[in-house]
Amino acid sequence: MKGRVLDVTALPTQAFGHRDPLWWAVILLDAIEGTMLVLLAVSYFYVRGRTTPFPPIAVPHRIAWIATAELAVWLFSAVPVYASGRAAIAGDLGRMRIHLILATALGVIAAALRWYELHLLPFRWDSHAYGSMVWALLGLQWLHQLTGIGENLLYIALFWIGPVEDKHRVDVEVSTPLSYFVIAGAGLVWAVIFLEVLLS
Amino acid sequence: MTDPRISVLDPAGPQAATIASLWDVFLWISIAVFVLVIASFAVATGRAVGRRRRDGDGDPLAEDPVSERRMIRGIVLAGTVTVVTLLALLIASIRTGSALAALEDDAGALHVRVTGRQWWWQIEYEHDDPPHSATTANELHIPVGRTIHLELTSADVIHSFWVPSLHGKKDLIPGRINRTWLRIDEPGEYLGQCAEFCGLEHARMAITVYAEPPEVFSAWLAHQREPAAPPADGQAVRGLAVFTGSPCVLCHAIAGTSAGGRLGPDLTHAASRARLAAGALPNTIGNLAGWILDPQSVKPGSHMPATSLAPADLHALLAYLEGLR
Amino acid sequence: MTAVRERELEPPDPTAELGRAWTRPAGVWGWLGDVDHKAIGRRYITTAFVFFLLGGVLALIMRLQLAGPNGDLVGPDRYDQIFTTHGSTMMFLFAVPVMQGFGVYLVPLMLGTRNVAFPRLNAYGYWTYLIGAVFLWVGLLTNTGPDAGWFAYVPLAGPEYGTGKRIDVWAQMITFTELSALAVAINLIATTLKHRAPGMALHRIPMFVWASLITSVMVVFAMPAVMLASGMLASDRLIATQFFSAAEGSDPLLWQHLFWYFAHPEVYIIFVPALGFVSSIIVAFARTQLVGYTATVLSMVTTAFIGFGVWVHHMFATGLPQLGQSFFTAASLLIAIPTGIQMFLWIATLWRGRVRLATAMLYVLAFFATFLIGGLTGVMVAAVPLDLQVHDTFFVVAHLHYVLIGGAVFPLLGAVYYWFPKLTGRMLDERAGKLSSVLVFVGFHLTFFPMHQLGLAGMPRRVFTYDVATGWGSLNFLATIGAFVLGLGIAITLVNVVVAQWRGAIAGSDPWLGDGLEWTTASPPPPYNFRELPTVCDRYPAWTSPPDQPVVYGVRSDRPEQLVTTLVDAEPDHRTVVAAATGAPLLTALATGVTFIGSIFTPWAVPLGAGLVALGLVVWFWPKAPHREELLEARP
Repeated sequence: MKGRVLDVTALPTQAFGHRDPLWWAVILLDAIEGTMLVLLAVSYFYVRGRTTPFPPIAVPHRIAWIATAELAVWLFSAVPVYASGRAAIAGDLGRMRIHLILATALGVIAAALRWYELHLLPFRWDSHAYGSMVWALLGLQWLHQLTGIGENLLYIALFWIGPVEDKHRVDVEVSTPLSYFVIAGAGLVWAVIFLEVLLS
Repeated sequence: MTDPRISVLDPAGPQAATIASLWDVFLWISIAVFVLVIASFAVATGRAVGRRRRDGDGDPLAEDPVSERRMIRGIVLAGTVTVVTLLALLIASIRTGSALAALEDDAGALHVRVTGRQWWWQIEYEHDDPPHSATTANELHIPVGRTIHLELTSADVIHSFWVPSLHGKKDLIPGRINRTWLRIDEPGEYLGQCAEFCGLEHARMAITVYAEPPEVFSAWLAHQREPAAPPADGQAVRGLAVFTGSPCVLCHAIAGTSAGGRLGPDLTHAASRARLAAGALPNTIGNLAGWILDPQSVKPGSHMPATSLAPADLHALLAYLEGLR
Repeated sequence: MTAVRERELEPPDPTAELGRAWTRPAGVWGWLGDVDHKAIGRRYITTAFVFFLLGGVLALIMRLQLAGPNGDLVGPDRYDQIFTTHGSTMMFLFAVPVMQGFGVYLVPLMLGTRNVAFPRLNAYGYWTYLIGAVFLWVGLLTNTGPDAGWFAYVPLAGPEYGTGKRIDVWAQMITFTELSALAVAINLIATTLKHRAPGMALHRIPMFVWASLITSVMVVFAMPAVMLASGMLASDRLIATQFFSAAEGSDPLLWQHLFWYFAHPEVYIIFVPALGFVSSIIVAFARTQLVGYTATVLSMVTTAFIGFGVWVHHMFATGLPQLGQSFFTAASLLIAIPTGIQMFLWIATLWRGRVRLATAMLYVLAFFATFLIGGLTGVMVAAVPLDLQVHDTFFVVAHLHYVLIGGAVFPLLGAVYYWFPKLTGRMLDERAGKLSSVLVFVGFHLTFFPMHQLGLAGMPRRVFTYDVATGWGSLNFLATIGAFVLGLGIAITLVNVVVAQWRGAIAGSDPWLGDGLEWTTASPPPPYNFRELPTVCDRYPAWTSPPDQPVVYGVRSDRPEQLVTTLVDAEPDHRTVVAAATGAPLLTALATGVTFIGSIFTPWAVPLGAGLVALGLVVWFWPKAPHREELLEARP
């Protein structure tokens, strides 16, 4: 029996950016984790309002400067992240690899700096509510960092030992909002905790 | 019938009365809304059921522009009425709120501190000279006609102070001080109980409010400020020794003796109180004996440990405690 | 779109290929690895109803305990575990999962696609939910049930007063169920935005799909709050952080803010899907188009939005500043406006329609009368002075059950009677259904109406007993009788459902003359949902599509491929392959389970478990043997 059809045979099997369903999953994941981070920041200010003197123990400037360096590394990593997305769209596997490795290397350096900040803090998570909040903010955002790094490592491993499918270009490109989210989160945490220390 | 001494709708003072009249406003408006909405709903449904029976399935896409327009107009009208009604209710609510706040400015208010504890109420009438402060438990005595300013806090978990005939509730939160103001115009006895879930014996954390004529109240307070009555006879003297020689003193205080524990209720005038264990039992000598020997069977989970005493010691102790009027 | 064109053609029969591409492998492993949205949806719905029955049994135990003064069926310790588990079960293990389960089952069918956007994530969500649900109940049955209320206020739930592992069980149950809810939300949003049938522009989305989309967005922004809060609570308990400690510079009220910022929207997360049920049932059984499609969508959006701004009305008694309280009163009253408009629109729809009083419709009538009362008492508790009196009393117990049972469970039962034929291919017995709806309605009001009076007479919530002198005995006795009538009504529906699985009349594809795409395929639908993917040109495609409405041609049938359409107009955009059955979601869920359950006993479970989860994810995402032509390096 003949019937009217809408012929979609010629459509591609992938698309970039918000045309791809996975892009939406990444954005929603950012929204979920972002809500968590923002609520934690709000809780930090709630504790700030109830703690006198604030902070209960002064945070050494040295840590704030390390945190600033960490943020700078993160901000700089946006460049290879962006380039990896462009390379993915262009289908250039070589450049995709290089920029992913570059972005991941910068991420590892920054995450190591975060580890060092936690190490230098003059209080523990159980010292007082302020300590709990600082550790939680730095720690939760550190988890985001490690997740982003882990994902990139998975891609790098994949691109090294294959098989690389055409659709992985889309995966790399739609994952860039996750990396941008990690960078923005690092900025938020820095502004909440360390800006005040630097200005004091 | 339910007990009128614990009822939102039997107010005994201006605060609860103001709220009760706001309740009337909300109740009657709600009834009117309910009747109107259900009536139009029933008419619409009845009509549509009849049509299905008469005409069968029909064409689901049929539309009649005239009745369509009428319907839209009806919905807009109903929406407007909704908005206006809600606005009126909002204004009524805010006005009631400010009426409730009126007592806060009374400089002559009597100041009482209430501390929630698992599972009883500590009540303190402070005095500039601390030894003259009076501390009691689970009974709030207040003079009629005078503004009462309650300072509320908690020593452990969150509790909530609520005597429905007097006022709405206010939470007692560790690390915070909450305040509430109330007044009673009728002498009498009013009941309340903790309203915020606070653990095992949340159900048995009652408070009784005694509203008394000012002179009766003053006499009561003056007596409560006194140290405990000395033991009246030999039996009671022995009882005091039993008390001070037992673990009782770790938690309980009796002014005028060496007992100074602060974890349990102050017993200086324990025998003057009508009930035991935050309302759980009438304060009779038999109940008191049972409570001392085996508190867990009266109030499972209570922080009061069982005390084993020789019968003679127990009798002496009871004789002494009965004398703490 | 140049790549897409309409034409006449005789497509080959894809049934055999589709069957091979979409059917899960046989056997236990195939069952465990199933990622079909219909299988997952049915599992969510079935599991949630099992927990509904269990939570109901707890309710009956509480009613027996409170039937008269000085009840001694259970002691306070057991009672506290029971009411905490009742509330937690009904909110986290029943209401949210059952609504999401219906979304998972129905949304792809209503959109005219073959599966959700992320089938493995969907399966993962179900398994984590199941682990969390069983965990809570194992806790209760081993006398380790949480006992600080479903709201777990600190410091009662904190390390000092909430001793033992009871509260830890609660906190981790939260983590599991919220992970699951978020997984479903992500899936439903992406599926709705990207997998609609060609032609189903935003203004043609079925109303239940709108409801589930709005709900999912609420989940995304509300659930993180409780995951954060329960994580903070767990770490206060396990590694001695001081997040809520008044002595160390924080405050117990921080917990309440975070909890209610989640828990008030939670009510709408349960209620908005029910609005979608009611709209769907009214359209089908009044056999007319919805009056005010756009207004209905807007009223749901507004309700959801305002729902995020009213959390403080749960905290009026905590002594927050007066001015702030007035703001929250106003916001809470504001919610009555979209809800009111929604009700007026339904009345208008009924007015225009031809109503068939099937069981589903009877439940909608029951919903109307009951929810209206719940809404009106909701207006009362929004007013600070009234709330200060009735807060934490049986008045609020009545109010919340009017809203949640009347507002959500009645429409849900209606939805069961409406969609059961689609899920199983068989009809439920209508006579038993009507009897059950009458018993449920009468039993409900007998149970909960007297509680308004009890609250006004001073009876606080969460008391395990009361004294005879209070005079609360007779109203409580009445409520207990009512609870058993209500239970009988539910039991009749349960029997009806069980019997109909085998004995029910064969339903056929469209027993109700329904309006949506789900009624254009077989009951139950084949694993690939539609033999040919449909296109639509209207809001009520099953009613309005012309005989020559085109079907989609060219989505490959030899592998699980779906059509992706554009965001607003649902124009065909590209084709995409979704996952087939795999064990990775189950393995990853088990690793998640080890992590969070282990963390109760040692913090080292977290890094260890995180490693396991990462391993699961590698298995999950590592590409299987791809098609040759799709290798990147094979590109010219």
